[in-house]
Amino acid sequence: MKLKLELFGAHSEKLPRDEGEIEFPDETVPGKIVDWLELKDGDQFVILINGHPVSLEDRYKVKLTEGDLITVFPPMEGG
Amino acid sequence: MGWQGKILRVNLTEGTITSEALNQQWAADYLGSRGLGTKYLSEETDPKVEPFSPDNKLIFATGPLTGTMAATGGRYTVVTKGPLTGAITCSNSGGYWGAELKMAGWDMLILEGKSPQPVYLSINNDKAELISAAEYWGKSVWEVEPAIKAKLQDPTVKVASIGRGGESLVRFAAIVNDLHRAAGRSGVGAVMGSKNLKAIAVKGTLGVSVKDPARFMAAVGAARAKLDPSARRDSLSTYGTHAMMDNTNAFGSLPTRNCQDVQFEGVKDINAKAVVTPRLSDGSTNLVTNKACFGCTIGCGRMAHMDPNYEKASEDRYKKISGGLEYENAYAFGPMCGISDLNAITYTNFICNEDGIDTISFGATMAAAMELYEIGAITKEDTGGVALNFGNAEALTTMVEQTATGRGFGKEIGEGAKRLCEKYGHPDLAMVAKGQEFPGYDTRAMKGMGLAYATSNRGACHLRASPFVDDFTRVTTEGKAEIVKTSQDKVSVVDSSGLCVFPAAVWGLDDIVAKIDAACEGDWTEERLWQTGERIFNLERSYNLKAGLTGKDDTLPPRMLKEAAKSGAGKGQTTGLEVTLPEYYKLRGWTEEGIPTNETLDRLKL
Repeated sequence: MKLKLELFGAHSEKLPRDEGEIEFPDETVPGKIVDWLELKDGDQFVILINGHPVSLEDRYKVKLTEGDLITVFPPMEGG
Repeated sequence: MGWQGKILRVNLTEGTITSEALNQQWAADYLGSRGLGTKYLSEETDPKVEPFSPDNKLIFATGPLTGTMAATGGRYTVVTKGPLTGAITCSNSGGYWGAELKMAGWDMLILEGKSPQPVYLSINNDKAELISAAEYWGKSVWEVEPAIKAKLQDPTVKVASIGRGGESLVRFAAIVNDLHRAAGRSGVGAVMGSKNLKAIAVKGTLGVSVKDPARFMAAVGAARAKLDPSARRDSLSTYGTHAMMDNTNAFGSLPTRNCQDVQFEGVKDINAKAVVTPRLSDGSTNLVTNKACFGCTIGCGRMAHMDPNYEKASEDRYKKISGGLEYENAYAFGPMCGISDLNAITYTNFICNEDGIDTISFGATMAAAMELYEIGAITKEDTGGVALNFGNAEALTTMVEQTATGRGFGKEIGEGAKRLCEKYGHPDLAMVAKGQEFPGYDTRAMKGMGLAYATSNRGACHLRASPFVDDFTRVTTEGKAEIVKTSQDKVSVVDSSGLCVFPAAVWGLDDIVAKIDAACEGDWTEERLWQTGERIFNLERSYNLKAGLTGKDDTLPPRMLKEAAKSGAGKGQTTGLEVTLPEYYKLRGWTEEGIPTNETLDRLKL
């Protein structure tokens, strides 16, 4: 399954430079993608699927569909 | 210990300066900084006082951890009645000035009255004097700070000053310290200007003692062991708060074109990546380096270098490295005004710093002016010929020059969005809560933030509660009241301790109490800190109620309550304040009208 992946913040260099779609196994769940990225404190990162948030409880349960945009960003407070 | 035990009181009308003992009972009940400043202001002023009256007081307050070795222990606050909101305000700043005041031996500085002539205050440990500022009046922050250091023949003196914004009584004028940090919000700089006080120079060499040094350093080390390796610190250090822009844009909570939209098409030109991308003109980047405040192990501050080919950068002072883009200023000048010109945004920020005006309020008021212009409520006749369309970078830079120096249509913008929109017949277009302009979070997707804006005692604020992570994870009204109430109490403690609010995302009050109890007299427990935070928040609330505010002021603009978001995670939704606010009042122990019950006041010993 091909997915689009956006990673913001200090870890964005972990993504391939071409920013295109990335091939993942068909049963991939959002939490597994964050694990694959080996992010520090990855369990605290925010995950959006097509702009909508995934709760902490659901990140290993939600099913993904071909072409989904997965956005991952670090927990930030303040501004 | 922790506290220095002394207050410096300056009567500007009489020109007298006196030292007095810190009220130890109040320190025990209100901790320091924001809390203690609020207690003193409440006891010493009539809440109905006109903010620019000599009867209003301006309090600079440090916390018990300010100037210690606690990581981020460099904060001070300015507490006064705010000219933008008519509510109590507390504006917080970092840099080095606060720690210097503490090391000069003072917990707090209370300024009262109004000087007949412009003056500045010079403090050298236990000596203080008022000196004529006639030669500095009409000068910018960038001019006055080095001039005072030269006059005092001491480059290590720390200076907090106002620019022409504060002198012109811009209602959101800031007090700028150490050139690049500011007590920015709510117009504390205008109150300083109203008192004819140009600057406060401080030299402090006395140090700060703590009760149990060994235990204190163990607590400092343990807290650093949590903070230093955290992802939150990594992000703030590498990209600064600016990194937030990609997040809010992806989520659909980036206020755009005066909150008509929640996502901005021009983000990639002005985001945290744009400022580290080499530019074509000179091969260097907008961002030069980060910069830390006193005792900070994060270093979120940004230092920028303007594109030398940008026409506005032709004067030498704009070619130097200066305070750069952070999330709030970038949001306010960028998406909120529909502008994606990085040079114009950086220049606008330089001007706000140079003459001391709040970046958030300026940008959001500018956005309101742009919408008023686009609907025809104001015209080129009003603006001196400037077309205030969204996206017009030239309009932004022209108006910031006028606003920061109190000239032309800038005088109208300097009144803030609420007064501007009321004057031109469209009060609903002011994106404000209690008269203070929105920071960079649209409340329709971030419903916790909506409640936080509505109930903040100083008007719309993103730093008086901390619902960020939950808001980015759950788009619902459920549970938001408790998150907002709890984090408001926690932030009240952090602001009153002398620490920065940023590491509090990693630290619990258990981490903070370990430092306070090792530094200060008295037995401090986590439970006591929670109650202290709640007491401080309720004291601010009580001040506002006495000032004439009511529960009806705990609201948001109709756009947030009735117009659904057009896109993003909150698409089709409004803020839901009608659900969260009653729940919040109940949790707070307030009546349905938003008044603390007698039981609540008794429980908090208020």
